[in-house]
Amino acid sequence: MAGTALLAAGLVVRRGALVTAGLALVGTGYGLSLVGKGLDPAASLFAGGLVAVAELAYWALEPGAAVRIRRSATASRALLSGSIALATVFIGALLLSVVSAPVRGGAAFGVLGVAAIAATLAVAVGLMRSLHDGNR
Amino acid sequence: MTRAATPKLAGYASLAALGLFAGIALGRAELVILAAPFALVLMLGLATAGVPDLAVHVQLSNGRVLEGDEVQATIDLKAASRLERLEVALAVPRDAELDGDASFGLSLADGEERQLAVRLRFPLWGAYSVGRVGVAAFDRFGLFVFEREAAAGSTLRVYPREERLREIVRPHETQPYVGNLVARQKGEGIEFADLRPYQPGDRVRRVNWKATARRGTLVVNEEHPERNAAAVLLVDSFAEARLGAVGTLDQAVRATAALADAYLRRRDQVGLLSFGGTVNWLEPAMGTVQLYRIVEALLDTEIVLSYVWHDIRVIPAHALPPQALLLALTPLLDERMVGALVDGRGRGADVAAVEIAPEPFIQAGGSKADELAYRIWKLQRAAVRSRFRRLGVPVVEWRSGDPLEPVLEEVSSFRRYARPTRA
Repeated sequence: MAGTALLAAGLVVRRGALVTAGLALVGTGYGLSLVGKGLDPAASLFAGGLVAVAELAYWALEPGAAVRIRRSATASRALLSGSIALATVFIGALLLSVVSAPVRGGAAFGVLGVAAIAATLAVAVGLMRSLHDGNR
Repeated sequence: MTRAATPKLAGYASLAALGLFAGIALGRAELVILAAPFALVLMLGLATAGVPDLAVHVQLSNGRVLEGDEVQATIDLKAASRLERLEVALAVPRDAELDGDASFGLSLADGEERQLAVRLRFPLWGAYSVGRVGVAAFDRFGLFVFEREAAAGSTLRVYPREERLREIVRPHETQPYVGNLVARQKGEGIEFADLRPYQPGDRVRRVNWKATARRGTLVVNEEHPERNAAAVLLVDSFAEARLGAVGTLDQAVRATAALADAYLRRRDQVGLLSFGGTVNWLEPAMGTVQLYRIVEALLDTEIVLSYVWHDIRVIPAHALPPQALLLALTPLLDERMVGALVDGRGRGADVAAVEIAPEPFIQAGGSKADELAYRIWKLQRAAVRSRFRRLGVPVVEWRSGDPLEPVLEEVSSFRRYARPTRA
């Protein structure tokens, strides 16, 4: 509820930080609801819904509200956002099925975890470099 | 193009990092699944975001129009790469009126050309810079915005819509050039002036045989030659009264354009003198080219605030030829203009003034002190008019919205009965 309220407030006052905080709170609320429970089979659906809300929220924050957007551009954007949401549901379901499969190998998961961290860091570094190059 | 990150970029990066770390730290795959799409969009966005290649060009349907006419500005876009979302906005010049949209959002395919039309109307004369365009292109995932501003490349000249005048103020004296006016001097012409005795060199065709028969000696006709006159139009640019978008300077410019056209159609010489914070002039000349020069010079007329005391001595002699009519269009708000006209009259110049009434552009205050001040100000103005009339300078008030011809007729009427005295 708090996350939704913060998200709504962010859209009203047009602040990206509030929207991000709202989405993070919503995700945190979902995470807290998982405490003491097993694997949630609806996680991919929730992820799809969350990313759809995020896409729409950041789309609403974009400047140029007074600009009359051509219908083709709006349709193209809506199609992309919808595709991302659907892909999230699909890939999430795939990941859930992989995770729920009885596979042994704690070390393998540890390596996978390290690889995920490394990938995240690589994305972050790439992002910072890209921004730095663009601002020159 | 300058690149900037949108709030979505920071937001997605934060959510991805938060979800991934939380998922790994707590050992919950669901949180990783929540964070995965954000990380994926980030990676795809970084990989595919490139500086768009877009050519923007603005052209106007017309470079010269009259007041109130409509102009179409066409924005030509050519994309060398696909643009998912592009926002284009044309800066609307001040005082221009927009008919329709000046901002557009669209997408362009690779190599696509598109034209966007913006209709503008210009109710006031002047020179306008048109063509400043702002462009913002977003990448496919909305993570980056590429912005560019193209400077205005076209100048639109809006000319004053002049009133067609049938009557104007006639100068007292003519110039030595051929024109449409009957001069006071005697010489060769059409209008009969006088008879005089024959002198060696006179042509036989000029002999008045009836008078010769009556007098018994050869008598020839003398005529009034046709000459032109010279008028210098003086525009007061010291100060103006303005209410909103219209003011006394706008009236003065329109009247000057109308008068210049009327005098030049009669084959008179017309000069222009913009007297104010800056002094600009055009020497008197004839013809259509002079009309274009005067109208172009009027477009640059503006009020320039200055505390420098200018008097008539700063005007060069060739800008104000002898025996030319000096017709001032002034709101008589600045003492320097009043002084210059009085000084010019004192030096023997043929001076007349059209007083562009500032009262319609001034709102008197509501308090008793404001009302008193307003009445005193009006009395001061009446005193100035009275001073001019005592000097033989006609000053006739012209209110906004009234036609100019009756005012000019009143000026001419005053001049008929108040002959100038030499200094």
